[in-house]
Amino acid sequence: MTNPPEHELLSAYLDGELSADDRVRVDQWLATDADARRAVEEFRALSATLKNLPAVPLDEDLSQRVLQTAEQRLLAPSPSADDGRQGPSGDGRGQSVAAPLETAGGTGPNGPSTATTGGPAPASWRLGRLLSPRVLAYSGVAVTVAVLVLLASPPPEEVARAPEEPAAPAMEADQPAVEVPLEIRGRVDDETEQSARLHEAQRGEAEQAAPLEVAEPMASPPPPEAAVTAPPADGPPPAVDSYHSDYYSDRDHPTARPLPGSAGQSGYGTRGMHDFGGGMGGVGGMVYGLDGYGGYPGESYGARTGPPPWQASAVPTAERPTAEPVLAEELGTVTRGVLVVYCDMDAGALQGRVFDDILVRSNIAWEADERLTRRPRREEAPFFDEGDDESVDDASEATEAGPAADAVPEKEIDSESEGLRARDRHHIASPARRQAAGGRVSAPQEDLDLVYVEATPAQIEGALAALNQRAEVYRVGVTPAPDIPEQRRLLAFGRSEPLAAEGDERPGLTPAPPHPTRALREAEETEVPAEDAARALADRRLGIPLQERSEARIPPEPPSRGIPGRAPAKSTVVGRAQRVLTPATVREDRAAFAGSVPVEVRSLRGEAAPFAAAAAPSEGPSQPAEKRLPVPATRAAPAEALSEAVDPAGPSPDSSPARRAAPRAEKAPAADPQPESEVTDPADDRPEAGTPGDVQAAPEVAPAYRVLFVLRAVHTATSPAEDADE
Amino acid sequence: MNDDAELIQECLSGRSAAFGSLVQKYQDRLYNTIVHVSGSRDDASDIVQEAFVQAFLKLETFQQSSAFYTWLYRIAFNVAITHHRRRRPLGSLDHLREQSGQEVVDRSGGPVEALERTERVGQIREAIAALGDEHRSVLVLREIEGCCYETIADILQIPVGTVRSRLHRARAELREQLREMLPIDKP
Repeated sequence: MTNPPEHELLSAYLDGELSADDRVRVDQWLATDADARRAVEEFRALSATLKNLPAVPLDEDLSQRVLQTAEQRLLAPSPSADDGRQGPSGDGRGQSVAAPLETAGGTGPNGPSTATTGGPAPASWRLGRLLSPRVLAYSGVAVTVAVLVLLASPPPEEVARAPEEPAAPAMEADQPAVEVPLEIRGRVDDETEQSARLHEAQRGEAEQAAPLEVAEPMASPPPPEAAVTAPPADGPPPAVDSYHSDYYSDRDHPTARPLPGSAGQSGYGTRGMHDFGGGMGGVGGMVYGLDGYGGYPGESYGARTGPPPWQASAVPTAERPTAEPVLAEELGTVTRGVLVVYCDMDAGALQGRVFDDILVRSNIAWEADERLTRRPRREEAPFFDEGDDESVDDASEATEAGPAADAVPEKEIDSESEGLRARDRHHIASPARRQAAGGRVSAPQEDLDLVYVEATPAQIEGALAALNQRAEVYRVGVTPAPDIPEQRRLLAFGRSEPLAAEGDERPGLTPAPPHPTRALREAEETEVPAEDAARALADRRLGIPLQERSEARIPPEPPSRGIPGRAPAKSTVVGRAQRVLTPATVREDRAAFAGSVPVEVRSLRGEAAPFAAAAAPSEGPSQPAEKRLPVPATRAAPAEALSEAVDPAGPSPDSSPARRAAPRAEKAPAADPQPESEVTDPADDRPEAGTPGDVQAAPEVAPAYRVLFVLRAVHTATSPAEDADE
Repeated sequence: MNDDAELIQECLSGRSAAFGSLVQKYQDRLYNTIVHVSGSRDDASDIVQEAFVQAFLKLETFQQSSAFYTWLYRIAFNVAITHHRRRRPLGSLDHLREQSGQEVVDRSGGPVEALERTERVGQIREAIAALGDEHRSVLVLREIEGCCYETIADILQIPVGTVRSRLHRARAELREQLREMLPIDKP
């Protein structure tokens, strides 16, 4: 009685499901074991009790309802189990449950395999059922109702076809009046419904992920719907939340459509590619396995006063920030451990180098990363050299043969998502804007600027604060690298949440949940030894394999950037290595790496960061020691030195290809409340330099974090670029 | 060729009414089984209807290597699983009786005896509903439906050994819950 299988034998013995040998064995067992006999008796009594349970009758005849429901599904073009939820009787009892149809066929001997014994009659049987009198009667009724609806439908002019108004008379003259508008309406309705569903799904997944919106054609008159639903010109500025929702709502942008190809098609994680923020969030989600970091998670509207320009403008032709899925593609390597700061600003301000001033005032030196902003593939894409039709309203037009599609290379519109993506590129880099931008080399990214820096928390916070204070900046969002606690704190800062004392739990800031890293996950899947997985994880955190790190540390001589005659500091080289985030990209881009310009990691002398006092450097536990770059503290510099350092007009055309050179300012004593503030030259921390302001003399070493500023231009009706377009 | 096969052939040849005969033939039996699996009369009705609908739609894939009711039960249990995942938690028949006022009334014997019997039936059904899904399905198919082990394995797509072990555990668990109720001579 102690062996469980023996008990099972008793139960099977009771049911007569034992073989002859087992039955003999159990008989012998029962003859000697009273407990076994008692168990059999209990099982027998239980079985008798259950068998004597009164049957539960079904009070209705299901046959008719079953046949009606089945025929409805047969007639439906895309049968789904939910169709049967409402029975034709409409009595509420017709609900059925959705179930996978494959279960009906099963995978067993009666599964839907082609080898049959009974012989399926697929064609004739289905045809016979479809031509049954009941089906024909339903079909006749349906056709009759459809004809009646057609006759009672409103005139075709009322259908949503406003963009095609000029061609409407000719179409109506050639075609029946009731066919074309219905087709158009059906298409529009379907897409609108799909867009709404997609919007809801996206909002459910990422509460702040913004859908892709395609601007209406600037040259064509707005459709009546747009005129009706356009935001009021002089309306009060909405609240923060409504601002956010209205901003991305279809209601005030009726022709806007989200990108149908979301995460699954674009392959950038779960967030999809509905805008760049979502795309980056998707990458982040893919890397970190976290939700909630898509879109603009750290949007900060608190510093904004008044409505955004597109709402304040009298002409509702403002262009919203468009999706830039290509950016996420380009930034696929910039995911791990990078604080991404999204910033939508006026196009004129972007071209006017407003951000340069902000960076300088935040004591952040920088270089433009050519690998990010000027990829040859983008520049050589013939798409940007063709056509002037920069706006395509209808998603289907991008995939159909038409004027808009003609401007797109065929290889780029092999699918709907590709067509949309190509259109976005087109939208980002129209020839008109490129011309308006002065023929810069980086014309495809003229509406976009990427600035990759490494900075201390104080510097980052200073930049965020400065961005929030600029009127030209409409929106600032922060996406943290959730494995770096300091960046989480910066996220709270970006959200304008109060900064609690160090060590306290910050309200409203959800700590990043523990998550398995990709390395460990892959180790689990592939059964890689733990040591190898840990090593791989360490490599990935550092962004470069250990065995290759020494190679990457060898600094190439910067040709013409930075400080002439000075080799980059060691820490600079390490910082550059950190930019490469995966071993694969290290190997892939090693050649390009060797000639690139290192990212400056030291502070410029200049004004102290406004929030430097609140940004006491905290040691992130997950930050490897190699990632902590010796960044000297800063001290204030005279404002005139800053003004000299910043050229508002931007670098001259004949300047270095890296269009931003770190402005320098002379050392100047200033009263800085931070005792550790010390102005150093960027090259002073070279071991061989030994200058008096060397960073090695500073007792405090602040960690530097990688920050990618994604600057996106928001074109308004009065922006210089749009004026140039028109 | 048995009756089921004839009806199936008629249905496949275009006479849908033949399938109605199959529905009428098996609906009560299937419903009585599913109502113990789902623990809800309404859910059982929906599941049974959906099972028949899917059987009708997939009838051409039925290869008749097993009995029609086995195939039908397999569909019904899959539908029940899907339904169960969507509508947790299951309610017991007793719970549903309290909500809807419907109950199976055993009218045999006197009023007191009928009441006691009804109460006892309710307790048994509650105990069945308290079983795990896997154990409950096997138990119901065996004790309520009277299926053999092989049929149960065919319906649930599990090995016969698994059927035996699950059935034994279900019985053991149910015996513990209904020990006082079972007509067994106390030692």
